[in-house]
Amino acid sequence: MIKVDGLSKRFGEVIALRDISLELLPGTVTAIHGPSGSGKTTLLRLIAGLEAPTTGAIYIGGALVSTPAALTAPHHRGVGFVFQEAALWPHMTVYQNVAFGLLGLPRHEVKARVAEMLAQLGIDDLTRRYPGELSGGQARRVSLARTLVTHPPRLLLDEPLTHIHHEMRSEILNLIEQLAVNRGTTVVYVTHELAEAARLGGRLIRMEEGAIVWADACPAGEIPASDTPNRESFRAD
Amino acid sequence: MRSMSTMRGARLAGALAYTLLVLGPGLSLCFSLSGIAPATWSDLLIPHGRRLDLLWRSGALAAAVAFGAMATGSLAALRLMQWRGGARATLRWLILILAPFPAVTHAQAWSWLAGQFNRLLQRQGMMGILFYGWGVSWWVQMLWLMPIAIGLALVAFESVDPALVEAGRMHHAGDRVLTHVVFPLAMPLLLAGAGVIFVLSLVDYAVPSLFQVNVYALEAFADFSAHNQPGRALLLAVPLLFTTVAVALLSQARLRPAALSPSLHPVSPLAQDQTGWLGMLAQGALIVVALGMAVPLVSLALQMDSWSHFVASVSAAGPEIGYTLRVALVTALLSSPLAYCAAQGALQQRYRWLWWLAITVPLAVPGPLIGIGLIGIWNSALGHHLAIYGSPVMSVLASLARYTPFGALVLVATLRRLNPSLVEAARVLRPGGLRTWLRVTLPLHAPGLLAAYGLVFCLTLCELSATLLVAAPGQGTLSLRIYNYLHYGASDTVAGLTLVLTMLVLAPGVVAFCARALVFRRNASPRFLARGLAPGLAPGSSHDQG
Ligand SMILES: Nc1ncnc2c1ncn2[C@@H]1O[C@H](COP(=O)(O)OP(=O)(O)O)[C@@H](O)[C@H]1O
Ligand SMILES: [Mg+2]
Repeated sequence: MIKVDGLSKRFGEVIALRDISLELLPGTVTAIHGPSGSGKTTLLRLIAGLEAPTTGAIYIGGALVSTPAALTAPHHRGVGFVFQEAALWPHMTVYQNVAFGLLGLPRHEVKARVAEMLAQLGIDDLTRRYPGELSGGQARRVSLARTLVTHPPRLLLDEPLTHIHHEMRSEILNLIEQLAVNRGTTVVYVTHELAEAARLGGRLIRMEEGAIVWADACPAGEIPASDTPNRESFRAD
Repeated sequence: MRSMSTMRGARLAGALAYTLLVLGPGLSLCFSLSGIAPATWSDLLIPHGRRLDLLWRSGALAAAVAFGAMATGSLAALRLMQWRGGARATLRWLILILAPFPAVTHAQAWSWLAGQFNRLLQRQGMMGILFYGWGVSWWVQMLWLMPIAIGLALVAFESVDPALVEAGRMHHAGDRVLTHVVFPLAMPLLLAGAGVIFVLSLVDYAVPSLFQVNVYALEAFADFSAHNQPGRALLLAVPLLFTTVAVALLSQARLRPAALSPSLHPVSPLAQDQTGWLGMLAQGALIVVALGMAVPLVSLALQMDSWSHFVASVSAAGPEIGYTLRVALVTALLSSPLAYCAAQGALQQRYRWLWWLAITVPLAVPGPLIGIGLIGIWNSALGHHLAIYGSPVMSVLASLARYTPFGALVLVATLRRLNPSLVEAARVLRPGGLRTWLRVTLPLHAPGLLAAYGLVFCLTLCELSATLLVAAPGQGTLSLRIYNYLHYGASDTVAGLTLVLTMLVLAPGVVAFCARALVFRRNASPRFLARGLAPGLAPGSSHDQG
């Protein structure tokens, strides 16, 4: 479980988050959406432990991991983070990028897990390429694979479908839902598009100017009509 | 269209000026080659016997200095980058500003310390330690060049995209992220830095000769003193030139465009939880750096007899101080466009290799040879007509020829790592030309230009070996005066003057610090201004916001 308690974050003059409180349960998908600049990335960065809160606290699995004074290191939180920009290491091949999180495990196991992950995301023909030789969508999938391969019990996704082709989108959304259902992963999914958030069919949260403006209950009429059939067709897949 | 040709004209003018001012002295020496008997050519060109041995040892010393300085410097830089906020950030600043002492300061300070130590030993009835030799030269040269190492290491680490480090920190502890992500990504620039330090150490003979070590660079100079034939000295220097070009090529070979975009939201690329073995090594490196600063400061302070004596020796040196400052300011100012032009040349497609040679070969021409070459040019019929020989312009020309290539090298390293699409984006919107260059290109290149300016300024202040030959009587620079006093053994005057010289060298750092404090008092801290600036000349990094 991830519990966020009275969290706020300032960058000098800019208030990126204002008094956010949330509880995210294992096996659930929470979709956070809101306009660009509303603080979504900042919230994920705080949960991941990449940044300290200005006030408030974060608990993961019952343990206090973030306060303004002390942070548990990101790699000790059991959190996977798919970054908004792919952030692939340019000096490593696709294989090395994906295998990085598994360093320390027996080699054959690393090989098998990486191969399986790449196949699942349809990028198994790219193993020897360098990030500079990938298209935007391919890089996103590698970045997704790099995080998913470690089987994190909690998964933070920051606009993971940017640059990804429509056909691939529903497959990836499917995969993410499966993680929550089968593995009990706590999934936090950030997007600036309401339609995309609605497709996931989990909990919906709306952020504006660093604050949560509504959660769970979407005010009537907010989901554009054209999106509803999409959602249905996705369900039917 | 007209603006395009303006740019081309500017480039051509720059190339000509570079050839005349930077390559000129060396080229003019080539004319004196005709006086050398062909039979002795191969003997001079190809080192053998004792000279070959000397070349090996000099190369080994320079390599050891480069490795030691760069390894210690980058570890210390890692620690310094973690100091953010409050008093510690200020302390980091002080370290960077105070670090660049002239070589004589270090040599003097450590000799003094050894002397004190020996006196202590003798009082106990023990034998004193012998403070000379290769090991001592290595130590002193390493501490002397350390600020450059730290500065370049900070530049290297800052150029690593923080997002890439964070992606690593999601998976592993700080040490593994350092070894797998940060170091590999910073390595090209770290190697380039090691190359610069190697060359500076290779051509320096002041420090080794103070500790009774004979190096190859001194050999070339000694030969000139003995035979007074510039051609001979040039031939003797050829192995140094070859070594330098090879090292420069090797160390820059991996420097690829890093598609770097200046970031306005800087985060330290280093883990806060650095407690592993790397953290301990970094702590040790910081202690070495601290020693390198503390020993010169303390020894200078203790060697001065009295305040009034200090004031007297400083005011007596007043004219030299003013003269030195003017020469350094003018040299740095003139060298910036030349270095910029050369760096652009080395980065473009056509004639790239020519520019590469034009930058790297002069790095290794020993100071005295540049002095001799300059005299050859300006002490001629044409030179007399222009009345440059014997004027202060000679001092400027000497430092210009010696240090412009260093500025160019710093510029190449920093420009190469900028994201080309930043400039290309402007190209698409507007025709290339002066206005685009001023609005987009220049601001992006400004940090590198500032770094080159600061580096040339500091190096010029301490220039001695070429100035020694070209300065007319009554136009002494401060380092010249110190050098003369050193021979009289007037140690407290030397200490006072060295302190002044040190303060002058620190000046650009202090100015940069104040400017930065004024401009970036608020939270915005443009990281790109820090990137590319050498230590002391430079806001090494700017993570200390908030
Ligand atoms: N490191 C930072 N320094 C200063 N301001 C920041 C920083 N990170 C984010 N911000 C600001 O905080 C606000 C929220 O940003 P962000 O969380 O990235 O929004 P979103 O992901 O919803 O687009 C924005 O106004 C942004 O400019
Ligand atoms: Mg965002």
